Amino acid sequence: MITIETLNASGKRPVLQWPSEDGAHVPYRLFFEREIFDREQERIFRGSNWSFVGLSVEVPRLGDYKSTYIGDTPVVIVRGKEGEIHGWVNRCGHRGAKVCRHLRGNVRNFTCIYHQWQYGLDGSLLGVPFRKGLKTMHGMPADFEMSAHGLQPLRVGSYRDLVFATFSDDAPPLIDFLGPEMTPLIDAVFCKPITFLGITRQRIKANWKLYIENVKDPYHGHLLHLFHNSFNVSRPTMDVGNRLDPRGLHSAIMGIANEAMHDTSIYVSDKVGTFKEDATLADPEVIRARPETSPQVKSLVQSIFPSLVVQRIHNSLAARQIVPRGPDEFELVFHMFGYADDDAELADMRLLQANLVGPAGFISMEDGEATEIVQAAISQPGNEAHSGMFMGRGAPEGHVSLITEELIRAFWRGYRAMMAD
Amino acid sequence: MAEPLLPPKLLARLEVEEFYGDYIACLDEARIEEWPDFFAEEASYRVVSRENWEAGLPISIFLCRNRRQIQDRVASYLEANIYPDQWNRHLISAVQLTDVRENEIFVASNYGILQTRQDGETRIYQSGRCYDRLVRTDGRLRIHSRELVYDTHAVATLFVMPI
Repeated sequence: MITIETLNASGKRPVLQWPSEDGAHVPYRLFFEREIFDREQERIFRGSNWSFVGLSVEVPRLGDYKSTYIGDTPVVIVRGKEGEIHGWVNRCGHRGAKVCRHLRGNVRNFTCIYHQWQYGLDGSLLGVPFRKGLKTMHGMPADFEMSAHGLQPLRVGSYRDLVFATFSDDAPPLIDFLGPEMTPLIDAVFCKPITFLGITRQRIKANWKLYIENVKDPYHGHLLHLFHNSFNVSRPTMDVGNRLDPRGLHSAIMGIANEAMHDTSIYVSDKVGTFKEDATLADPEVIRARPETSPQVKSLVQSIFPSLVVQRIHNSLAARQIVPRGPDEFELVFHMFGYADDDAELADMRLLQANLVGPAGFISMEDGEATEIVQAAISQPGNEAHSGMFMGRGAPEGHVSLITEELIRAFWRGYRAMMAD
Repeated sequence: MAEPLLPPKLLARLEVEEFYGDYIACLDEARIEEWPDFFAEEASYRVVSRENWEAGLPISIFLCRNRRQIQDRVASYLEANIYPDQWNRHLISAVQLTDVRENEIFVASNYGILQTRQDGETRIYQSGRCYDRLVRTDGRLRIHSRELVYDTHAVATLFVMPI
């Protein structure tokens, strides 16, 4: 067994043991221990990564704002005077109250309700009541600096319509963080102006990394999400493409339409119990896709570490945000969008195809259940067991497959490096 | 023809109450294959978060534009989808008949869904407001459109059983 000193080398607890170098075995402790969660907040979410915080079209006008999270820290993004987007930690510079108490809206400035401290859109402190005192009563001391008590600013960066923020001055430029493997795929989705269609939210009682594993796991797709097979939405015989960034943290899985996907014989020969030859939809409109790319990308699930998944499922487009809410819970927020030049039919198709994804998604709802049953089974304090992921292990580098777990193993190698002392 | 004993609006209210009783029994007893029978052929059914509804954003989590799409949800529930075993209990209150016409009734009501899963605990799964347009065809009420606007915008795990 290879021991890699990852966690708490100076503390009382024994270090975490990774049974293999390549990420095929993942200790279950990573999914339920508070100490690990806290370290992730520091190293990953408040570290030198860029977290997805929203779409630029969510805050189109001056003063438009949105409350969200980076990891478990509440933050706000706001459209400023020059069209720039500001971001700051949603915590008053005075006594720590949440300054912005609404999900979204439009304001001229922000006021903390507790003592009426007032902030500009950029988070700078503009006003403190009774700063100079009142009649004979003393106010703030003479050395009180307004500029030292503003809201904690974040670095905000946009790539196309995706808005990211980071706590870190050391984070590389956003475009380098995304990297040349990932940006062409983002470019293809955000190829023209988009319109915001709304939000759906799912609260899942599982560790956030179980969802990261899920979106890097093409192996489960056709086995868990039976809607695919049952109603001929997609088959593992379609052309596939995988992408991985050099750190292993970002990845993408694509399914591309071809002729062979109508061949169902592999299910018969492999005895996959979940496939039903004769199931048809009474109204197939929900799975009718209009090609928007050439060749037609039937599905794209692109994971941008740590908090974004870009999705194209037929004509359903979304930026999914992963918001951890403690070691054993996360919220999955789907930001659904279309294009500004959608004709009426395509706009209607996107609304109908929203049935495919989200909390009630024909081909996605099971992910909530799958991650929860893992969490429920592994979370006993002191559990030293680990998972085992060997699918596609030993395949040559660059091997493309829909039944591989290599993207997950690569993720764990990158994660381990980031969490190590 | 004899004068009806009850004023038309009160009669309609009793009819709606009867209809909701049947509808809820069907779902709470998990007789989901009978659920499409409560809808007219051109019916629409939609579940949307209050967050989107109030912001005028069009995305729903569950949208059917005709009864065949409603039947497909049933087929998917029975044949394809995987979800935790669950029992739902509907509670309905503050029923308002906002417009009563000869063969058409517009109804708004509050609803709550209590959900019990395998751990044996009962949770408030959803609370919201239901907007119905009911039509009378062949002597019985059917749903022409139903819009369910849920306050509980963080959906617990997933949404599979219709409400």
